[in-house]
Amino acid sequence: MPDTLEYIEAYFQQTLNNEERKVFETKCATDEAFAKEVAFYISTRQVLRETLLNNKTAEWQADTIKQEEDITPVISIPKRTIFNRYITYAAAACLLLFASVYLFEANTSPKKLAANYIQTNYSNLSQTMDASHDSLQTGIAAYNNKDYSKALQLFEWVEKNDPANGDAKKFAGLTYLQQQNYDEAVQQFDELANMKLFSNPGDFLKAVTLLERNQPRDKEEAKKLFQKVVTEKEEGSEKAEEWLKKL
Amino acid sequence: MEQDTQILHGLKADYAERCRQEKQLYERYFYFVDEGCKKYSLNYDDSFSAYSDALLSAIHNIINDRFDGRSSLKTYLYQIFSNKCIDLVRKNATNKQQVHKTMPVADTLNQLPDNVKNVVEKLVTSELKANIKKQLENIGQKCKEVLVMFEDGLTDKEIAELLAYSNAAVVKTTRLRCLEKLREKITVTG
Repeated sequence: MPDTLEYIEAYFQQTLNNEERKVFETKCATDEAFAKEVAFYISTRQVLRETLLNNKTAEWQADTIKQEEDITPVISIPKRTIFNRYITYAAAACLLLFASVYLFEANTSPKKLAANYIQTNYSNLSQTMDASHDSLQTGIAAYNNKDYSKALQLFEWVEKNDPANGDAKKFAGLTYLQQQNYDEAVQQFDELANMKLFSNPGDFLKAVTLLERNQPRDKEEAKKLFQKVVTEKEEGSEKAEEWLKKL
Repeated sequence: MEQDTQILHGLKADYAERCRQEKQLYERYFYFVDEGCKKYSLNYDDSFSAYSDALLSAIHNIINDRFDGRSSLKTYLYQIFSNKCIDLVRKNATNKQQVHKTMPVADTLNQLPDNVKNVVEKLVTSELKANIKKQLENIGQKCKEVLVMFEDGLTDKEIAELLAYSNAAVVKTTRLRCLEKLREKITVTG
């Protein structure tokens, strides 16, 4: 069947000659099974274009939003009446209430605990000036710019060429995590945990990812991993000990 | 015009440069979105959708040498944007009871002669597209990435360089296998 798809693609890429095009069109009009294949191909192209457009729009907007934030004008505050002042106090009280509820939630929900941890510690990766790891450093720069698809390409390229590179695996896992692709992130950290490194954060990061993924039994699995991290004094053991008390 | 030339060259350069120029272009003519709201009475979301869609079409035309340079980039982009707005106005007028969220018909279908197009168009249902959209998430990140990159106008050779495949032929085989994988999932679930 791939041959059929190749044939269909050749038509739409306009690499068939006139005679071949006519044969294709006749087959499409008379052979329903073939027409369905063509419909699948066209529908897929349309879905892919929509996906592409969503990705592009997000990329294009990323910088614009940042620029808008940078040039947000200072709004002058008009003189307030006593009534307005009461409304302001009431609004502030509501805000405080919501903030307290939110903070309570943030501190207690394992999913949010994990998300906050990643946000605080891994929004940015530190770069070095070591020229021997160009692709890794370019990947880190892309990650810090939130260009996760590019970052992933580079980290996976490094992984492919240097399978023993623990940093590349860790960063690829973190990139998947930022993309909320938890399954891939878990896989990366799992593989990282099995690597022989002097200091290995694989188990700890896998546990954090499981908490953030928050599927049935993820919490139990995360607890077991944190326990292992503490017992074997792996990287992240202090944090793991702290979290075990909260979970 | 000098900036036009710079953008046109940049769009045909390597992928990183192309992405930079896409952003330039996006920001430079973003005010079209307001025009769409005023001139065609579209709401902001529809006008924005027409703008980003027009921009992507223009970029693909430029990189595939379908922009002949006889008009300025602004005129060219505005023409495409204007057509997209008119499409949306027509669709909004004929589907007042529906929430219009679909993309304009892709160029792919229009490559077919009318008699064949009619046959295939009936088979391109919203259910099929919804199923494909769902299954696209189940064929693996790499597969999805390769397919989206190809849709973005990158050649197999360029994809091979970006994703560290050994050559263009490997990318082509991978791409077709990914499509086949997607088709199999559709057959099973459809």
